[in-house]
Amino acid sequence: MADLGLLARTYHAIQTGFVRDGRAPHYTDLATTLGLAPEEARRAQRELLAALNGPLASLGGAHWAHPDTDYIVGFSPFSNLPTQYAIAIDGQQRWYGQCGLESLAVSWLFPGKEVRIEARCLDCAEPLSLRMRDGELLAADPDSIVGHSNVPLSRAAENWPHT
Amino acid sequence: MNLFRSEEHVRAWGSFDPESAEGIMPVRDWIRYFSQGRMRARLDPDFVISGASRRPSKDEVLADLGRGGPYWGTPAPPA
Repeated sequence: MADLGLLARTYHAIQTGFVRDGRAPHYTDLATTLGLAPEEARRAQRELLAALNGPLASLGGAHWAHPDTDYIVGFSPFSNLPTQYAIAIDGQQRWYGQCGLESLAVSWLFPGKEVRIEARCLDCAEPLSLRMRDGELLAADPDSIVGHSNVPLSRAAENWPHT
Repeated sequence: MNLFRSEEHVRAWGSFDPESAEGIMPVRDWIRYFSQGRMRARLDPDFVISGASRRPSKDEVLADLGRGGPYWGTPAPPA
């Protein structure tokens, strides 16, 4: 595995980039942030994604790039590809949840701010919405909202995009 | 991993796998699941180095929710 300190800095740069911009930084952005040459940043990102799906899997979450590219798609709790889970912070919609359930973890990344999750039910296409702050549910509409994983959590890592 | 308007909507969903029924939980319980220590710490600069040890752990949260077993990948809760 690559140098753990570099992987930590790379992870932090990607996660803070999502929080700031609503999207993953490109590895050329990482190069600037981390003071690396572009190729070194590309390699660090690749090694980070490999480690998060290997020796660092105990950190949880799902992290992957589009196949055969260096474009990040999933980086828990965010998605770089728009999903049906639109997330607004203090009224500004700029983020997408990786899935409905990871959307529930987004508020931990925006301390003190109101996080609104809006989506449509996969069964009936009627809207549902949640408001959260610091891990607390402020409101749910409708109040009967449930979460569900069609794949056992014990097998979720076998195919993250499908899960 | 999705949100639905109610349990009835999950069961009526065309792609619903009946063997996954154990994975239907009120959103408030899923919020607790996604309040594991490691999920709160994702912005910490040292997350990659020490994030996995943050508490509460997944097993602790699931035990608190009375959940566990093969679906969850943890020991079954006491009967």
